[in-house]
Amino acid sequence: MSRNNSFTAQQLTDSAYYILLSMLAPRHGYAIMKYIEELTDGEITIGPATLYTLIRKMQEADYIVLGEGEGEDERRKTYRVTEKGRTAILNEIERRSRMAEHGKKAINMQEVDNNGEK
Amino acid sequence: MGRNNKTRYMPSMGLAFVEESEMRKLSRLAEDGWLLESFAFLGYKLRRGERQKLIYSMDTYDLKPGEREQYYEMFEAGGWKHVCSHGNIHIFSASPDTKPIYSDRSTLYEKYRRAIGLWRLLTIIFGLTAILSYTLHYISLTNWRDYYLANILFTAFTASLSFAVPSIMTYTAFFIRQRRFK
Repeated sequence: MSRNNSFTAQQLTDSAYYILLSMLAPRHGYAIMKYIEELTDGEITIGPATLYTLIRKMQEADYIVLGEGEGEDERRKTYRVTEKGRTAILNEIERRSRMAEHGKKAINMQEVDNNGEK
Repeated sequence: MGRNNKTRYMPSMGLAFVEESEMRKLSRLAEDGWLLESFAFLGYKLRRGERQKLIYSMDTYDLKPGEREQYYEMFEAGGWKHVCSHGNIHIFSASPDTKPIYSDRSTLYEKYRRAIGLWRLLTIIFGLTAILSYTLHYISLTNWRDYYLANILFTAFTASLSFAVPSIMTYTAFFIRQRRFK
């Protein structure tokens, strides 16, 4: 039962990845969900319980901080990434691009092999 | 099932065992105009209201007083209205096309991990009390031959067992739920 903190492994779950991306600029709960839907053309939606759970963990890990809302949204709490969170998200983008590259490479190699056999 | 014109009682078989089917039952009752109002002793209190299509979801969180508002606000942002809470159990309702409150397995796993905590503690406490009182009961019967003490200890044993059994059942049910999302 050692899964209580997904951040210790320095690897973000898909949900944590998108949530951190949304907090590159300060956003409140509703804006986070909306942003992720728009960014991914509706492919990814984040449920409120999932969002709340991950926000608590990210705060504990010092990846994000709570800020005050501005203007009309003054009452609503906003969240944004810290330096530590920013580093984590940049590393994660790199890691995920490498993974995608590995996948493409494997597919290409497979195709070359197949052509060689013919 | 006690009922009058405005409120009605719905017994609960325990959210650890029948979470999904009870949430569905609450939906059916909302369609008949019986809306969940609060938790009641071993069940729910429903109130007569407008017939409407609603879905219900249960979440678990031990919230400090200052955390409640933020927690409910997050659900509201996702289209879920807070209905009632009891301890670390919270129930929300939404219109049927609303997206589920959990969108990935790892956070859903944690929902049940949080639910387990208290029940594990209760299982251990009542389980140990039951074992201890039965052992002492046996010793007082065979070695000490103190039948009065033996009777008291047996009463203590049955009492702790009557708490231990439901605790173990609830603990096991939440544990099985948690395993599904591992």
